Amino acid sequence: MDVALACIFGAWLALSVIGQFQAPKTDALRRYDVLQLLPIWTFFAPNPGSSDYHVIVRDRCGDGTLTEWRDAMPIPAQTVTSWLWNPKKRQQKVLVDAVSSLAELCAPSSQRGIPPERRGRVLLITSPYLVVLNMVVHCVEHAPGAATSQFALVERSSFGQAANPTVLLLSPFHRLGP
Amino acid sequence: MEPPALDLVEVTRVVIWIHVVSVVVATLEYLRVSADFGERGAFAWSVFRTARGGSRLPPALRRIQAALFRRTGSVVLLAVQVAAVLAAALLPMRTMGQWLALLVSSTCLGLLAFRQRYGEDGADQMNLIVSVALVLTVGPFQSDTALRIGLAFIAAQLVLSYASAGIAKVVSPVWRSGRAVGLVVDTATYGSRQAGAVLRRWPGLGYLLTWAVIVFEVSFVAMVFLPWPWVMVPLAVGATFHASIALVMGLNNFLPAFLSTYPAMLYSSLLVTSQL
Repeated sequence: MDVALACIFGAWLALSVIGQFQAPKTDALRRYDVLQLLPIWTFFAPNPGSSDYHVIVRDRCGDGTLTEWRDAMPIPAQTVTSWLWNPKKRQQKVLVDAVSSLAELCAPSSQRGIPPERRGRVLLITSPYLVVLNMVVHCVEHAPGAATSQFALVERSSFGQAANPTVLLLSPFHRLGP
Repeated sequence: MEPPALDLVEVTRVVIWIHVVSVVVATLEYLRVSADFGERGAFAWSVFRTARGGSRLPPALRRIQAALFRRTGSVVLLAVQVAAVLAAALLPMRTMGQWLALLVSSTCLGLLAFRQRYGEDGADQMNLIVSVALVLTVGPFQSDTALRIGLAFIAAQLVLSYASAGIAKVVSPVWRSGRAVGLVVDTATYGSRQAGAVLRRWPGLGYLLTWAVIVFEVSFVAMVFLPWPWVMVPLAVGATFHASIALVMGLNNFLPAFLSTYPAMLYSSLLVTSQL
């Protein structure tokens, strides 16, 4: 029994070590790891994450008028109790994960085999795009009478850097549900 | 100085208690934002399922998933998880009751990890790893050797986590430049305007902190095999490191999740050094 246990833990540890390397074969391994038992421990590296992602939104009303762009999901500021209790970080992490996945999907290596004219459309039915779209449609307050909404993913550098924000993605207008 | 004689079962009990704190905080945080599990929430299952096979799955499986992962099912799952993990802490060690409680908690953690393709972090991963390792080793039918193997595995995952993070930082030009910590804490997502301003004013401090993180993570694997009492130094530095991350970055779950592995690390380290 103990030998079998040692073999199980040994195999799990070996796969965990292999999983630390970014390679097509480890990506394939990860696809089968639906319970996420193989960790990725490369916290904030090699890219330390030196910018914030913002979702900006504008609405088009039934009469065709457009609202101004606005920050739809402002990043919640840390509070004095965030070190102990910080439930709001989850929604922000969903956004960060979805945007990171979208960035990967937009990379040239991921777009290989897709005709250039179809790339934008293919992106619209990917899981991370739908995650962001769902947040825009349901978690954001829209203008009264808004019929459709458009969003953009914007990357903004650190507080101390004066660089202009970069638009990563501009969506088409999406119909807002009832 | 003679190392303390650590009792195997007592060490495992401390691992379980800290793990319980970690899981309870993480789960209560999820319950606090439980509206997000609804169909109009940020974690809506109808959307998240697109990352898990979506409509390609057989209809029966889709129905089971929907029952488990829509808002009501998710809240029940989270409530069961809190109850089970608390029971694991309160029930006597290595009894069938405690093992079943750990099994239920571990199953809930696994289901949540499956559901939450987006939004989970390294603390959740560590919680799941510790939980499964405990289930496999803390049963009434398991030997002391099994307990030792479980603790060694948890310790090895801790060492791997720091080594992997450290190596990934060493090969990164931004981290080697000494600017990384300053850049991270200067964001709204993982820092604050005040913390960013402090490191902008004293870039030398940011440089020092960045390299301190790299050196700590890369050298942890060697430092944990220092003889007693020096082995306590990397563990104390690690605890301070996670407490600082919680304070400055608001990543509060990493502190208990990683601290739950430290008793396993200490036990395994003393076991190894006593053989040398």
